[in-house]
Amino acid sequence: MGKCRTMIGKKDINVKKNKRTKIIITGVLTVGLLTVVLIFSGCIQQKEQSEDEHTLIQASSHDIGDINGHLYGGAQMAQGMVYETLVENTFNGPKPRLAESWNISDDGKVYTFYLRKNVKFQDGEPFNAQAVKDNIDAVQRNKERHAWLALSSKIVSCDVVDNYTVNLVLSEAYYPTLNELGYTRPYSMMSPKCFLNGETKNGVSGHIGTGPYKLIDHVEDQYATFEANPNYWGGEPSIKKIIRKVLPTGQTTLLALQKKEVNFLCTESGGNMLDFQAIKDLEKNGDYQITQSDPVSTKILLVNTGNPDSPLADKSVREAVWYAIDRNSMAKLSGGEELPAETLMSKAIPYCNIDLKARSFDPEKARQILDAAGWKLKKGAEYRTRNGETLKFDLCYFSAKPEQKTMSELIQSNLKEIGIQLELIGEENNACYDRRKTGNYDMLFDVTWGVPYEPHCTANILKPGGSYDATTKGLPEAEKLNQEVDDVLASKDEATRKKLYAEIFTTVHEEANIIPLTYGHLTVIYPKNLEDVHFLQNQYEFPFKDLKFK
Amino acid sequence: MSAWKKLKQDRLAMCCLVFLSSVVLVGIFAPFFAPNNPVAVDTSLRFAGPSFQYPLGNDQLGRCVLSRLIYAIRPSVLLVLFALSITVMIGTVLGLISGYYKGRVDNVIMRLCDVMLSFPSEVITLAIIGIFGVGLQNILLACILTKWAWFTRVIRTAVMQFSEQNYVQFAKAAGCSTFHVLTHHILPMTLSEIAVIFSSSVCSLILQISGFSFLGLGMQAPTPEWGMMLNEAKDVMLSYPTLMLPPGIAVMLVSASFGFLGDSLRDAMDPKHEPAVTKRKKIRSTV
Amino acid sequence: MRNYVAKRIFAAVPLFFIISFCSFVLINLSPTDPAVAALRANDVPVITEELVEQTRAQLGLDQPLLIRYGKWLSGCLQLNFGQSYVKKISVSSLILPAFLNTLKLVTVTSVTIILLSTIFGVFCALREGSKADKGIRGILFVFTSMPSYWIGPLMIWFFAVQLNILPTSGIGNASHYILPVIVMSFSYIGFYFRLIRNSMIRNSGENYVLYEKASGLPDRLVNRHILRNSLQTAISGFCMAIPGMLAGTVVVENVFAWPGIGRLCVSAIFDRDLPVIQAYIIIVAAFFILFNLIADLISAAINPKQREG
Repeated sequence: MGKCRTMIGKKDINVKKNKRTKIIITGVLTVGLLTVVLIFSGCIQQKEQSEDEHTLIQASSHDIGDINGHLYGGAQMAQGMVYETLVENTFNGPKPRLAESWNISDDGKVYTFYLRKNVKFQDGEPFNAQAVKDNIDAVQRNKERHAWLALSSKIVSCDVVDNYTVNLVLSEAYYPTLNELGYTRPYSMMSPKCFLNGETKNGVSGHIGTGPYKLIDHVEDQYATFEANPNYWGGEPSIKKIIRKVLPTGQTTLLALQKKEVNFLCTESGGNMLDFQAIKDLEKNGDYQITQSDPVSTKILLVNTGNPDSPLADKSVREAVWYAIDRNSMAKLSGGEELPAETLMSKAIPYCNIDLKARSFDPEKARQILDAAGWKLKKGAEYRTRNGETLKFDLCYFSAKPEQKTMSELIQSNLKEIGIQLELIGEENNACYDRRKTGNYDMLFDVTWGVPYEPHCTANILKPGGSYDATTKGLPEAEKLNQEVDDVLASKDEATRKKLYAEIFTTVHEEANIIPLTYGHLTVIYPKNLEDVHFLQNQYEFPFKDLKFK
Repeated sequence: MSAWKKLKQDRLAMCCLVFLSSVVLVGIFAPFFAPNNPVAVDTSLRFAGPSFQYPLGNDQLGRCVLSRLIYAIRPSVLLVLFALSITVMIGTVLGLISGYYKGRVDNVIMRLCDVMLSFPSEVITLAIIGIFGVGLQNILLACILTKWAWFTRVIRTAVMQFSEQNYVQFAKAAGCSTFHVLTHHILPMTLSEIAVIFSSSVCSLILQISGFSFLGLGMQAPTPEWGMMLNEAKDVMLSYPTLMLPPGIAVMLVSASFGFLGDSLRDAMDPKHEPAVTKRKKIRSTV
Repeated sequence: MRNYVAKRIFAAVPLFFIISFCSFVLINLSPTDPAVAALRANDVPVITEELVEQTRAQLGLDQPLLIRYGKWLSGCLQLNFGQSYVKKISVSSLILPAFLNTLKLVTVTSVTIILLSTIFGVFCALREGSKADKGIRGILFVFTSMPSYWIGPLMIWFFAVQLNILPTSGIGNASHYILPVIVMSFSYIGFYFRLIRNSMIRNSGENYVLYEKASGLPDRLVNRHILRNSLQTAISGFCMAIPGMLAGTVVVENVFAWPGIGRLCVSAIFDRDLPVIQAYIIIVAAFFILFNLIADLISAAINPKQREG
């Protein structure tokens, strides 16, 4: 009996085994089928989703944030679409924007602005002298926040003269006033209706300006949608809709471009490097065009001169470092996006067309300088020494920026050639800013802001308390430099200004306390049928209102 | 059948073992195996294809990819093994104490474990990087901090099982010192358990650590590391896709081998378990 | 049973407090001054001492640690995690939508993983040692060993660009789920698959199986018993899948631009937006504890023996 049962059981095994296999196969097939169905439904929906051809879909690595025009939390590019300022900074100096014209009093202390008359905010509120006063007063009540901008400490009052005239009264003459009023933040004009209790520093109830675009939809970390402002005083922009999508930088963005999920990209100078080869391939395939701006910023090494124990306190070591870095190879790393830089400020920057001695790549010269300074290379040793001390220091870079890592590695290998041991320290942004602020570094990677902030903002932060002060602290000319910066900012005539800037930047160049590496461009990638692509003076903004589709 | 014999029969496990030992050897003697200096920059060879002198081509700074791959074994594999050994030691000591003494000590240790295990390990790691700064040593420290609780738990359970066994009771009754009982009677029995979790967590740890390097939080440049190499390759994935392959495949092979080995070890060490094939044969022979 | 439930819940509460305290202290140990970080995150170009002092007072950072902890915790219990230093809006309005997005991804992935790993696990356990078993095990191991930041971009490139059948990234309709779910499943499926397979195999060596086989019960029934028993052991593993993945989505979210909690937290870490980081830790930890509790209770309900322990 027992035997019988086992036999039946065995037969059972085979039958059941087949059944089981079937069940499993069915299961797998169902899952597979489901996937396929999902994929197809995805494709169909995707077609519906694709926007009409005349929408610009911009890829960006970060969200627009809170675009309150009096604060700094939002993306400047988005702020520049929604808000406008009294004056516009152009390649030819300040030009009228919301102010049609202006007068400057002889002592340079009173600026009178005559406002454009047919301007309305996007919510229908009129733009007039009272609105200007409300905005400037709101910004001034948060003055500490704008300490970086010397103008904020110089404004005494903003007075309404008549409905379309305002007076801006300063405590002393300050030549970059018009320039600084032209920065989108903080002096941009927001509809006073959005203010909370007359203030903007604690947030606003809406993002309404006079600009060519309105922000109509925003989902945090996903996208923001802008629509053309039909009542824009300069005429409704040609591109009716711009969507800014948040995508991680690098390959994801390029893939999305290739798939036309996005069709517009503007690189950020000093931001993440894009695979330039891949961008060129995109252009070759015929759907996109590329335009590059002139150099907008300089990648630099800040050298700490304030620490007397560091070998970098010695000018000859700094010069040797300068000579040892192969800038041509470095520029090539970006795939053609950058140019080797011999001076901190490119000659195109106002007041910076100064004749300075180029210190081109010359390792032999660097070796001679070090030998002369007493740093000798012993036979068989890898690194130079002086009195038993090895020639060694650190270079800190922002680990979130891969290009800085690559460049640092190149510098490390360049310096090794001449017998300097360079330690690399890659850290997240906040740690790097901490180092810059406290001067806790030997060498630190940085990128300049570019015009319109230059040259006066960069000169300003060389002073004690500024973020570059560690680079000037140890210089014999430190005090003179400090005085020159103060003088130049209060200067009233072009000739003095020119002379002082020349002196300041010659000192900085001679002392080699800020070592220039490369000049960076902006690159935009855009659909073939888009016309009139150009750049603004400010590298953080883009003139969307001037673009058109063919 | 002894565990080793069983393991020897498992061809896949042996392959993994041979592969991993050779990886470790190559890593230790990297200067002998690497054809070039892994940090030597030559921008004229930027993204050059494979050549006789550079068998896997060159990266964005013209460095030899193969040499970097070989040198990267040190941080990517050897350091992980080292960190894990420390973790296992901590886990073993605490697990032994906790499982053997039980009572209040056990309670305290277990609550501590609960707390540690309630934190996502990624978050602890990021917090530690935030406090002590970027660097591989901090990530390894974070791994030790996050993993010890897990090891302690597993070993405690094993110890509890074995300390109930008759021979342990007997040893205790015979007046052996606690230390002797722990080291001679209980520890050897838990070794199998330790070996299994060790090899399977190497697998996940290699992935995790190269992941942090990938995010730019791990190894400092220019020391080569697989996660970092992947990160660099990813930036040029569209124009030079082949650069993605060497580090990706290396991570995959090593971590998969550890996984396989851990699995086979588990099977081999489980006294109850025999491969089904032999089981079937036995049944048939009895019928 | 009721006692056990009470005991477990009772034990979970202090655990929650300890974790919240640890995370609070840990985060406050970080060397960067959160007031400075908050200013920087708002792109204030030059930071003066007065500005830092003012911000510190504004953010309530000048109060002693314990008071801040107390305030924060009582807020948390009412789902009020404070204001983001950086974005100037309440943390809950930031974190809740992100959390839901992550939860959606994690749920879909969990279901996929549980389904697939059970199917493969049972299949392999029944054919232990066969070529199919070895093959599937091998493939799944290889999948698990593929770094998601490697396979993710490769899959995007292949499916989204070369074949052009899936979107590259972002959140939207069902098709947006496919790639991230596949990539995430890859890294977890090996573990759950092994869980099922090994517990099936272990169970099949148990005495009750021998007894059932010996008494001639059909294999189908025996296998069903084995499966039921091994699923019981696997349930606690599955319960931990959701909270485990909640913490592990960081890389996948970054690769696929998924607007979830992991991405939010990483950007908060880079900005040192402490309220967001703290809220992230506390939410994930709370989920951990909750699911741990559920797992314990389920296995206790199934296996009465455990209630005594």
